[in-house]
Amino acid sequence: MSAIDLREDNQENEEEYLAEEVEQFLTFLVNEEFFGLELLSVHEILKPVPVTRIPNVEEYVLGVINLRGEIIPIIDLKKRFDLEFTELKASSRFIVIMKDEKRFGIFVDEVKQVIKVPISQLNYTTDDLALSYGKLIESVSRVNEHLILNLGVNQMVDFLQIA
Amino acid sequence: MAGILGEYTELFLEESEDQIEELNSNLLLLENDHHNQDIINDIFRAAHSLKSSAAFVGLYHLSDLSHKMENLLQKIREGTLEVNTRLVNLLFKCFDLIKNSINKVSDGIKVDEPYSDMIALLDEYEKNPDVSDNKATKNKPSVKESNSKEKSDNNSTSQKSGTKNKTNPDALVISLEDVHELHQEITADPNLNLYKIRIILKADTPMKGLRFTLILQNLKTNGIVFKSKPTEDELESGYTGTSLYFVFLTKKREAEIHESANIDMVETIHVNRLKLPELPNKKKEEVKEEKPTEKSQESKTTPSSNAQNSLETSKLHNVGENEDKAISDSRIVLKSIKVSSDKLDQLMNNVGELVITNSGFQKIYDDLIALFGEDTLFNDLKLKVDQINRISKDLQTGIMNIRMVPIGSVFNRFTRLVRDLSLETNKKVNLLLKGENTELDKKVIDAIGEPLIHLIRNSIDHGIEQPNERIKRGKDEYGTVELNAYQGGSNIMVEIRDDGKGLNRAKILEKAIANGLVTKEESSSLSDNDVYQFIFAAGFSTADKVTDISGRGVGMNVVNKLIQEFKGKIIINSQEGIGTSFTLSFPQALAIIPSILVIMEEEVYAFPLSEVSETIKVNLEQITTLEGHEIINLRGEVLPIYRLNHIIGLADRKDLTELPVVIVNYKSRKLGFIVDDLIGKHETVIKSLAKNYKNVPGLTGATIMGDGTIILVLDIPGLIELASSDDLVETSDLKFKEMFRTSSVRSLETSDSEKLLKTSHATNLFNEKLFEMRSKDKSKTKRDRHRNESQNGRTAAGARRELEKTNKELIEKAETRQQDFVAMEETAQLKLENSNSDSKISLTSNVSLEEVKSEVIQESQPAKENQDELYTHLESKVSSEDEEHKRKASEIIKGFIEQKNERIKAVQGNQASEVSELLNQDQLRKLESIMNTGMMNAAMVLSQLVGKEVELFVPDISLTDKEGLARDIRYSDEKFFGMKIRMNGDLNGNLLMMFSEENGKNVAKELLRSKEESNGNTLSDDSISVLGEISNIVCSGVINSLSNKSKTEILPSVPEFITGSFIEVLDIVKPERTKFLSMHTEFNQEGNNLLGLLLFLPDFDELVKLIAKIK
Repeated sequence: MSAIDLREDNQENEEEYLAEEVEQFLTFLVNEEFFGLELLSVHEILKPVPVTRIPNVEEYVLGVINLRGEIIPIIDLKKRFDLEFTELKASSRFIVIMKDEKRFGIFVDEVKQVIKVPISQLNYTTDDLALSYGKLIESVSRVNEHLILNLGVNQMVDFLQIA
Repeated sequence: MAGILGEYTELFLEESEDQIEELNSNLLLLENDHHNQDIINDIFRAAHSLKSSAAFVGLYHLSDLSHKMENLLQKIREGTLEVNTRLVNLLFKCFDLIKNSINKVSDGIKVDEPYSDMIALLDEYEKNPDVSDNKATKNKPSVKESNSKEKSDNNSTSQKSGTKNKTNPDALVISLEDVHELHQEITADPNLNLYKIRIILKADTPMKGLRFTLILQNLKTNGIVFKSKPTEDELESGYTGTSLYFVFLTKKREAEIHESANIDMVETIHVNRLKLPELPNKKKEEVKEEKPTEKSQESKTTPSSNAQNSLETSKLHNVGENEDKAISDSRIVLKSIKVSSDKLDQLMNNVGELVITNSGFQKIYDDLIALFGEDTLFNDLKLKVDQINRISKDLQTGIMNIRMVPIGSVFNRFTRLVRDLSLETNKKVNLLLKGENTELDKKVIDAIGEPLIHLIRNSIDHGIEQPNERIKRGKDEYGTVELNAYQGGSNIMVEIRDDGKGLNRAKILEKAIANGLVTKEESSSLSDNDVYQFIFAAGFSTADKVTDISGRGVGMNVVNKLIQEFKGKIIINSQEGIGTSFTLSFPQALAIIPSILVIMEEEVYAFPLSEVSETIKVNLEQITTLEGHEIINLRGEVLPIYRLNHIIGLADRKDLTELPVVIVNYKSRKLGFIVDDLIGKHETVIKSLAKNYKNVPGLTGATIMGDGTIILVLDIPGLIELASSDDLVETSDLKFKEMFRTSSVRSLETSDSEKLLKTSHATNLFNEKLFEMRSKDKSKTKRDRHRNESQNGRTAAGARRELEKTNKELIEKAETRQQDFVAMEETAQLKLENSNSDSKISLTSNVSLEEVKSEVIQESQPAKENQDELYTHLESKVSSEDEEHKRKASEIIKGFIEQKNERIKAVQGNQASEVSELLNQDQLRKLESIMNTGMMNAAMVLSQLVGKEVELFVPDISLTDKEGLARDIRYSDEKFFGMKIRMNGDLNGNLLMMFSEENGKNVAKELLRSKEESNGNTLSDDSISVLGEISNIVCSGVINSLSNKSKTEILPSVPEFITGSFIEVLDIVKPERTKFLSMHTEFNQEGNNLLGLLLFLPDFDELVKLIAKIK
C-alpha cells in the first residue's frame, strides 16, 4: 500500500486553498481499504497490548484493555464489517477514539498519516453505499487516487453498539 | 454551557428549587402554628428572593406571581390577613405552579405565560378574605397548654379554621429571649409565679385603653408585667380593642390577681398559670407536632392538629424550639457546602486508583522478599506500605461517606404528599418519620423518591381504611403511615409500614393464577412472602377500580425495578386487618467490594464476598442430574450447580476430577458455580463497564489488579439468568488449543508450565499471537546486539564466547551457570585427565531428537581442548552421523561440562570438609570420574529413550542425612515416582531413579504412544512398567560403567516402584537416620523442567574398597 503523499499537492495548491478551511483526518487501513477518522475524536494510538475477554458480548468486541486505569473496549473493525477477524501484524494498532466522555478502541491493520482535506473536496454521502457498513461513512474524499472513507464517530458508537 | 435562561440558569435552578422546598415546608409549619412570626418571615423572604431571581433570569411572569404572593404574605405578616385553610391551599397552589415552571426550565423549556388565573385568585382573596374577621376576635396569648386537646372537625390534616377559638392573629407572641428572661427571673426568685392573663372589656366600654392601663398599673404594684399585647404605649395612645393579653410575674395568687384586675366594665378575666417550657436544647428529642423547617431535623410530624398526641406541647414550647432550631439550622446550613457530584466522582476515581496502586506495592514487597530474603529494610518498607494501605482505605471510606446523604431530605417531601392524599381520599392519616439521619448513597437517594411515593400512595389508598370503618374495627380513627430508615448489618433498610387492613393473600393469589403467573398446584407450596411478591408483576393489581392515585399496577413495578437496579431486596410482611410493611434493603457500600477471585483458564473473575457462602471441592461423581439440571448434595442440602465455563463461553475441561465450587446465596437459596481454580480474596474497587462501553449481562463491572490485570466482577442474578437462557454459546463447539501462558496470575495449585490449554477464542488467539511476536522481538534484539558486539572483537575467545552465549539463549537456558560458563571456560581447569580428542562426537542414529533451534557452534568444538578422557570410551560406542546429532551431543556435553565445573568448585567448597575426611582427594577424584561416566551414560540413554533433549547437572557428592539431602535437592517437596534398584555384588547399595510426577506421567504417556489420560496421581500399570524400564536402563548404565572401571561385579536388581514426596521415597530407601554418602544428579528437560533425578546411595565401606580398585 503506497502512502498518500500529499506534500507536493499541498504545496501546489497552497495558494489556492490557503483561505479555505480544511479538516484533518487520521487515515488507516482495514482490510486494505483506506478509512479516515476525524482527528479531533482520535485520542490515542497504541501498539497492541494483551486484551481481556468479555464473555457474552458480540464477536467483534475483542475485549477490554487497561488504559492507565480506565477500562476501554476494543473492537475488531474488520469483524464488524462482517469479514473475518483481523490478523495481528507488526503494523497493527489500536486507535482510541473519544466521544463525549466515552472512550473506545478500534483494531486496525495499519495507521497511515494525518491528512488535511479541504472542505470543498469532502463529499458527504447521501446515497447508500453498497456496503454493510454504509451507514458509518460520513463523507468520502479522494486524495492522490485513493478513496478515503471517513467514518463518523457518532455513527460508530451506535454501529458498534456501545452503550 | 448556558441554559435556556442564559448563563445563570443553573444557579437559578439550584436556588429556586431549594426555595420552593423551603416554602412548602414552611407553609406546612405555618398551618400548625398560625402566628409564628419567624416562619412567616421565612416564607416572605423566600418569596421575595424568588421574585427577584425569577426577574433576573427573565421569567417575568413568574416574578409577577411571586410579587402577588408577597402581597398576601405581607398582610399575613402584618396580621391583617388570617391564616386559614383556604389561604393555605391557595398558597400551595401557587407554589405548585411555580414549581412546575422551574421543573420545565430544568427540562429546557422556558415557560413564560402569564399566570393570570392564579393572580386573579390571589387578588380576589386579598379583597375578600375568609369570613372570620380578626378585629373582633378575642386576643389571647398564643401561649397555651389547652390547645393540644382540640380536635378539628375537618379532615385529619392540620386545618385551623377561623372557627377555632384559640389561635388569633392578635395573640401575644412570646419569643425565645422572653423565655430566657422569664427563666432568669424565676430562678432568681422561685417564689414568683407566672401567669398569663386575659382581660376582656365590655364591648361598649368607653376609653378602653385607659382602663386597661389602669388595670396594669394596679397589677404592677404586685408584680411584673412582663409583656403585653397591646403594649402599654398602644394602650395609652387610644386602644380600642376589647382584649388585653399579658404575662405577669407575681408572688400573689390567682384570686388576688382577679381582684386587682377587676375594675369597672371588665367583662371577663382569665388568669392561668403559665408553664414555661424548658430551655429548648433539652427538648430536641421529644415528639413535637411541628414539622421541622430544615431537612436535618429529627421529628415526628403529624399533619393533623395535635389531636392524637397525648404528648402535650405548648405553643410557646414550639415557638421557642422552632426558633432555636431555625438558628441552629442556619448554623448547620453554613457548615455545609454544595459540591458538584462530578467532582466527587472524580475524587472517588482517584482514590480508587490509589487503592489499586497500593496493592501493587504489596506485590513488589513479596517479590523482593523472594529475591533477596528477609531484611530489616524490607520490614520498614512493609510497615510503611501497610500504613499507606490503611490511610487510603480510610480515605476511600471517607469519600464514600461524602456521597452519603441523609434520607431525611427525601422523607420530608412526603408530609405534603400525605396531607394531599388524605384530603383526597377523605381518610385521616398520620405520617411518622423515623431515622431521617440514616444515610444512603446519593444515587440511591435520588432514585428512591419515586418508588416510595408509590408505596405511600398504595398504603393510603388501599391500606388505610376509612375513619368510620377503622373505628368499627376498634382502631384509631387516624391511620398511621410510618417511614423508617435504619442500618441493618451491612445494609440500609427503608421501611414503610401502615396499620391498615393488610394484604389480602387470597385475592393476590387468585389474581396471580388468573394472570397466569403461577398454577394452582404450585400455589400451594408458596410462602406468604412469595405470594406477596406477585404484586410486583407488571400490571398486577387487585384493585377493583382504578383511581387517580393507584390501581393500575404500575407503581409496584417501579419499586421492583429500583430494587433490582441497586441490588437491593424487598421483604413484605402483612397481617390482615392489622397492617402491612414493606422493607427495602440496600447494600451499603457501593464501591469497595471484597471478593473471591477465581480463574478460568487464564481469565480472572471475582465473586462478591457478600454473596459467597463457602467454597468447596467436589468430585465428578458427586454431581448428579435432576430434571436436566445438575445438582449436588451439600451436607444433606440439594443445591443446583452451574458450570461457570458454560456461562462465560469457555470450553469444557475434561481432565479435572476434583472441581472447586463456589457456593453463593441467591434469593434465600444456595447454589454453586463450578470454576477452574480459586485464587484468593481481593478488595476490588469496581469500575463500571458502562462508562466506556455498556453493561454486560452477568457482570457488575470490572476492576484492575495491582499488576494491571483486568478482573471481571460477576453479577449472580445475571449469571443465573444467562444460565437459564438459551442463547449461550454452545460450548461443545469450542475447541482447545495449547497456548502460551500470558497471565501472571497464579492460583494456589497451578504448576508453572509454560503452556496450557485455552479455548480458541479470537481474543485468546490474538493474545497468543501478540505474545509470540513479542518474544520473537525480544530474542531478535538480543541477537542483533550480540552480532554487533561480535563484529568488534573477533578473537577466538570472543567468538567462542559470543557464539556460546547465543546458543544458550536460543535454547532458553536461563541458568546463571551458563553465563558463568563463559568465564569459566577460560579459566577452569578440569581436574580430570585431558585429552584433545576429536571433538566430533555424535550419538547413534537411533537417536530421534527434536530439532535444535540453535546454530551450530562448529568453531567452538576445537576450542574444547578440555575434552577429557570421559569421552574416549564413548567414541567407541558411537558413530558419527549427520550434523544434527553432532550438535545435540555437543550440547549435552557442553552443558554437562560447564555445570560440572561449577559444581565441582561449589561442591568442594561446601562439602569438602566432611567428605574429605572420609575420602582423600585422590579417591574423590576417582569416584567422581566414575560417577561422571555413569551419569553421562545415563543421560544419553535417557535422552534416547524419551526422545527429548536432556540436560544433566554435575553430580553432587555429599555426606549428608535425609533432611540435608532433601534440602539440597531442588523440588524436593514435589511428588515423585521412584524406582529403586538395588545394587548387589561387590558393591551394595541403592540406586534411586525419581521422576517428577508431572513429567513422569508425560514421559510414560509419550513412550506408550497412548492417548490414554492418566487419571489424577496414579499411573496405569503400563506407565509404571515403562518408567521401570527407563530406570532400569539408566541405572544399568551407571552400574555398568562403575563395574567396568573398578573391574568388579555389580548387578542391578529388579526395580521397585515407590511413590510419594521426596522425603517419603527417601525414607523407604534409607530409613536410618545416619549420614550417608550420596551422589545425585538431576536431569532436566527443556530448560528448567525437572524430569527426574538419579540418586546413588552406595554402602560406604564397600565404596571405599571399590574406589581403591580403580586405577
